[in-house]
Amino acid sequence: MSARGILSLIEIKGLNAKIDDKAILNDFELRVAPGEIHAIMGPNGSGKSTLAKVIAGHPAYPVSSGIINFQGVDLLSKSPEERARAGIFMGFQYPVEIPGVTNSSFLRLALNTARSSKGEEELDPIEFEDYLQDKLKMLDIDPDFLARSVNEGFSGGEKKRNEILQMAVLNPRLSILDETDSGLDIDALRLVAGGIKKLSNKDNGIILITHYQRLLNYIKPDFVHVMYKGSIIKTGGVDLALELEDRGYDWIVSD
Amino acid sequence: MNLAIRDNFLKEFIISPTVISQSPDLIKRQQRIAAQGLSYLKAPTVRDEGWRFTDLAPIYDTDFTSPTRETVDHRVIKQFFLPEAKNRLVFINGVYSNEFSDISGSQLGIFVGNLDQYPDKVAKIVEMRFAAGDDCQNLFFPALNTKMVNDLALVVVDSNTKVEKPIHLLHISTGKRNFSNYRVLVALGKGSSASIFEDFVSVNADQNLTNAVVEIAVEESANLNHLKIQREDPSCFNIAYTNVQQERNSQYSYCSISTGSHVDRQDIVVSQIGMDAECRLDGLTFLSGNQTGGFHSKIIHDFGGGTSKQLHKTVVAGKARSDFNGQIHVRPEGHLSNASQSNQNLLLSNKGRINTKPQLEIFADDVKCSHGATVGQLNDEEIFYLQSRGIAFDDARKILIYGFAAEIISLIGIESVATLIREQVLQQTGNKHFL
Repeated sequence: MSARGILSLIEIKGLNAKIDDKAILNDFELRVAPGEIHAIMGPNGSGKSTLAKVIAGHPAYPVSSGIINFQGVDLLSKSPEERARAGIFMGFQYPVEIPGVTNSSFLRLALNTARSSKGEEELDPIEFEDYLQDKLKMLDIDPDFLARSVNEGFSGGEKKRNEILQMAVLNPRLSILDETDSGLDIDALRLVAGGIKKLSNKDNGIILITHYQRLLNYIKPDFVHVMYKGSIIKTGGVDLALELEDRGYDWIVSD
Repeated sequence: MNLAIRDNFLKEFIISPTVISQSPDLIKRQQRIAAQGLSYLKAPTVRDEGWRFTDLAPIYDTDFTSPTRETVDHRVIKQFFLPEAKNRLVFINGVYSNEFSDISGSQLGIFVGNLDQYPDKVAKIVEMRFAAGDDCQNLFFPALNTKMVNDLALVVVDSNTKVEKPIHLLHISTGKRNFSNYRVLVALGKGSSASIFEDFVSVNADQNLTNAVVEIAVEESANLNHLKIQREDPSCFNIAYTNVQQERNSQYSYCSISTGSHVDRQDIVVSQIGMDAECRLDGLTFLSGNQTGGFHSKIIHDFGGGTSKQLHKTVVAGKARSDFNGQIHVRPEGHLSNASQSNQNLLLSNKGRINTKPQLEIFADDVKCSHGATVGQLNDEEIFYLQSRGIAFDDARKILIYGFAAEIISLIGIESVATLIREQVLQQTGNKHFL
C-alpha cells in the first residue's frame, strides 16, 4: 500500500453494483483522506445516491465486486449498523419520520449504541443532556427540536438540520451527505452549510453529493468530482464546479 | 368445529330460570324478554356473516362454570387503581365489590354505584335505558348478558354537571374457566360532561370468559370521553358489546386499546339520534401468538350535520388473526354528515392474518364520507435509516412498531393510563431503551 493509502480514511476500488442487471456503479474509484471535503456532482441517474447507499450498506444495493477499505476495515462485510458504529454517517436526502420517539431519546440511543460497541461507557440522561446542549449551541438549533418526535411534522429544512444534528452527536469519521442541500431555501441552506462547515475537522472526511454548485458557495471542497454512468469521469477543484454551473455536463460527457 | 358443542354452549346458563328470579325487579322485565330471545338465538360461528373472521371455536371448546365468589389479594387489586380517578367501581368476575369500590367522590349531580342502593331518579334511568336497544334481544352475547346479569355498574350524571376527574370502571377476571357477565350503564344528562375508564384485567385467571355489555346515553350537548383497555391474560376470552346513543349536539370520544386475551371481540354501535352530534372512535389492537382480535363498529348518522372520525390500528405478529369491520351508515335524513374512517394494519409475520372491511352505506346525497384501509409491513427504508444510525436491525424494527402504535397512545387522555400503555407496548415490542 502506498503512503497515501495508509493515510486514507476510505479507499474505494473497482466498485460495481447492479440493480436488475443494470449497472449503477461501474468500476467506481475514490479515496478520501482525513480532513478532506469531496464534492460529487453529476447529472440525474449517474449513480451518486447509489454510491451513498452502498457505502452505508443499504441491502437493496448489492455490490457485485470491488473493495471499500475504511480505516483498514473491509466495509462491505459489515452490516449497516456496524458501519455506522465504525464511524460512517449517511445524511439522507429524505430523512424518515419516526412518530412516538423523541429526538433526544433517539439521539441518546444512537450515541450510546456506538459508545458501548467501542467499549466506552454509556451516557446517562443528564450527561447526555450536557453533551447535547453543546451541539445545539454550536449548530444554533432550537432545543424544542429535542422534545419532538424524530422528523415528524418537520419542514424540509428542519429535517436536513436534524440530519446535521445527528451527525454532530455521532461525530463520525466519514460523512456522506446525499443532496443535503436539495429542497432548501436560501436561509435553510446557509444554516445547513454552516453546520457542516463547523463539523468538518482535520480528522474527519466529508463527501457532499449535490446537484448544484450553490452549496459550494458556503463550503469549499478540496476536490470536485463529476460522476457519470457509475464512475468518476473528471476531477478538479472548486473551479470545476463553477464551470459546471456555467456550461452544464454535456461538454464533459461528450468528451 | 363441532356444532353440537356450539349448540350446547352454555346451555345450562341459557335455560336456567333461577338467574332472573334472583335479579332486582328493576331489570327483570328486560331479562325475561332476553330469555325469550335466547330460546331461538344461536351462538355465532364463522358461518355467520359478522363472525366469519372471528372464530369463537376456542370458546365453544371450553367448559365454563358460573363464577364462584373469588377473593383476590387487595395488594394486587390496588395496583390497578387509577391515581387520577375520584370514583371507582370494581367488579370481580362480574360481581360488584363493595370492598374495593370507592364512590366517596360522588358529588352533587353524580351517581356512581350499583343496584344495591340508588336514588329514585337513577331507578327511572335504569328502567328507561337498560337493554333498551333491540340488540340486547337479537344478538346472542348481549342477550345472554342481559339475561344473566343481576347487577349493573352505574354512572349517572345530571344535566349541566361537569365531572372533572375520570371514573374508573375496573373489571377483574380471576379463577379458572369462569364465565362472567358484566354490565355497565352510563347516562349523561343534558350539557354534562364526564370521562370514564373501563379497564379489563385478570389476576390468576385461566381460560375465563368475560361477556361485557356497556350501554351509554349522551344527552343533548353532553360530552363523554370513554377510554377502554382490555389487558386480560392470554388464556382468557373477552367479548364486549357497546351501544352509544348520542343526542343532538353531543360529543362522544372512544379510545379502545386491546392487548390481552386469546379471543378478543368488540362490537360497538354508535347511533346519532339528534343533529350535529360528533363522535370519535380510535383504537389500537396488539395481537401475537395465537390471539384472535375482532373489532366491529357501526356508526349511524341518523340526522343531519353529524360527524364521525375513526382511526383504528392493528399490529399482528405470530399466528394472530385480526378482523376489522367498520360500518358507517348514513340515513336519508343524514344531510351534511361528515364521516371519515381509517384502518391501518401492520403485519409482522408470514403466518399472521389481517381482514379489514370498510362498509359504507350512504343514503343521503350531500355528505362527505371517506375511508381507507391499509395492510403493510415495516418499511425497509425506515429500518435502514435507523440502522444507518448504528441501531441494530431488530431494535430498529421494534422502534418502528412502537412508532406505529404511538399515534393512538398519544390520544389517551388520562396521563397515567397513557404511561401504562406506552410502557406495555414498549415492553411488548422489546424496546427497553425508552422505558
